[in-house]
Amino acid sequence: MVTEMRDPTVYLLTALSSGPRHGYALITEVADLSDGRVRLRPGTLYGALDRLLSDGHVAVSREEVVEGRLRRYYELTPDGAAALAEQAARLRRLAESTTAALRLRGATA
Amino acid sequence: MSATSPAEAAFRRLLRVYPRSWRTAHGEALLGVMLDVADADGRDRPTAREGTAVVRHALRTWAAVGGDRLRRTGIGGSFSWIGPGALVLGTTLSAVSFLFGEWFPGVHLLWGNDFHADPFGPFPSAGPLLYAVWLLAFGAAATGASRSARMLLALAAVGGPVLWTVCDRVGTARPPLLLMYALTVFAVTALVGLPRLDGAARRRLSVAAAGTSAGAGLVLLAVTAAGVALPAAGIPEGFPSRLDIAELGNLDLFLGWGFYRVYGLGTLVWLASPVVLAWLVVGLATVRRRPARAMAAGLLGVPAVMVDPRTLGTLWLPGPLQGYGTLLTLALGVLSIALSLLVVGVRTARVGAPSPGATA
Repeated sequence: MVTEMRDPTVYLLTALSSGPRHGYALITEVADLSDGRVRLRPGTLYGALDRLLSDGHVAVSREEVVEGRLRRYYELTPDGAAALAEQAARLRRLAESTTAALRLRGATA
Repeated sequence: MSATSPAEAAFRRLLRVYPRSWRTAHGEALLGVMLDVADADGRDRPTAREGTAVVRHALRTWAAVGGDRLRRTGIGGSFSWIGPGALVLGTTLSAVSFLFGEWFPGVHLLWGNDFHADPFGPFPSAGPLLYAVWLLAFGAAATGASRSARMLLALAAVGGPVLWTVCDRVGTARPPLLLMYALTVFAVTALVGLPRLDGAARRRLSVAAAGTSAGAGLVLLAVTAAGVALPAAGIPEGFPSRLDIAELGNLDLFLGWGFYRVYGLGTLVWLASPVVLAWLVVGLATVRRRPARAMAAGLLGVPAVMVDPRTLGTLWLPGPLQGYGTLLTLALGVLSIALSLLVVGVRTARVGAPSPGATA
């Protein structure tokens, strides 16, 4: 059985699927992916990253200092990619069954 | 923003809510993100929601770091047994006290210090009221009704002091103070430390309670039987938990001045206090780096456990309030033990997830 991930976590993994990202880039990309519905705050972001790191779904890729600020980049691990694929399949099945139910309802209405 | 700008200082102050170890590993990276977001929003200080999110994450991090510390020291594992252990010990004390103190077939027993008090219905004392709550609590826990078990344990924790206060007021016999005190401490400990039990754990709990109850009963009977052969001499008068038999007869000769009648239950009860004290010491050991908490718990809890609470009550509240001093002392002792257990993180010890701080 696939463990259900919360939307922000799925968006985070999705953002990382196209390559390593630092914290602020993740916040902006998650906002873009969700059409502005999910606006991660730094504390929330790090809470999610802590969980994903401990689960082995993401890893620290590299660090750099830009204008005196530390930027830490995160990348998707193979386990993380597999977990994201499972979530995608789960969401696809959900969408298909919902669509089928609505189609049936339209046919019987 | 420069490295010493007021904005950076404001965000750095916010980071202080994190444990030092987490701050060292991740503080600069989080600070960079917060400053980036603040720049984009045109702010120079954290918003309330941003601060709330940081505090919530920091609290989870503190819990995880505390859990890691408990696991590393091996104390976490022992703490996971405190709740079930207290439940088993309290149930055993209740079952054995009922069997041997209230209902031993054919023998009408009176608790030694209640010669002038009235019996409670068919029982020598009002103890069965408390024992029944305990046995029901155990039954609920063993069958998976954890909410009912917690409610009954809370009732047992409150019921002990209430029962003995009421009994002393209306002149009804009650079990010895130390027995009720031990049961109350066990009830609070079980209430705080009882985890959610799966089927296998519940079966182990049932086997443990049945085993300890049967073991304690057999020890009492065996030593009593051995006591039959011993001369009836040298029994200390006024033993705090001394049992007496109202009508002496042949059965009295069988029981004689043996272990069961004089020392049996008393020994069990006296053993309970060191067990509680040992757990408390373990709890205090885990807060050794927080001397204020350790001192507070020790000052309140240890004397109340070690010293007869009736004596402390007399010392603290002489005169017309003397009777209430016992209740006060008990309440303080139980409260301090519960608080110390909570402080050292009985609940934290149950957290199975790895620490974010340790892996990030």
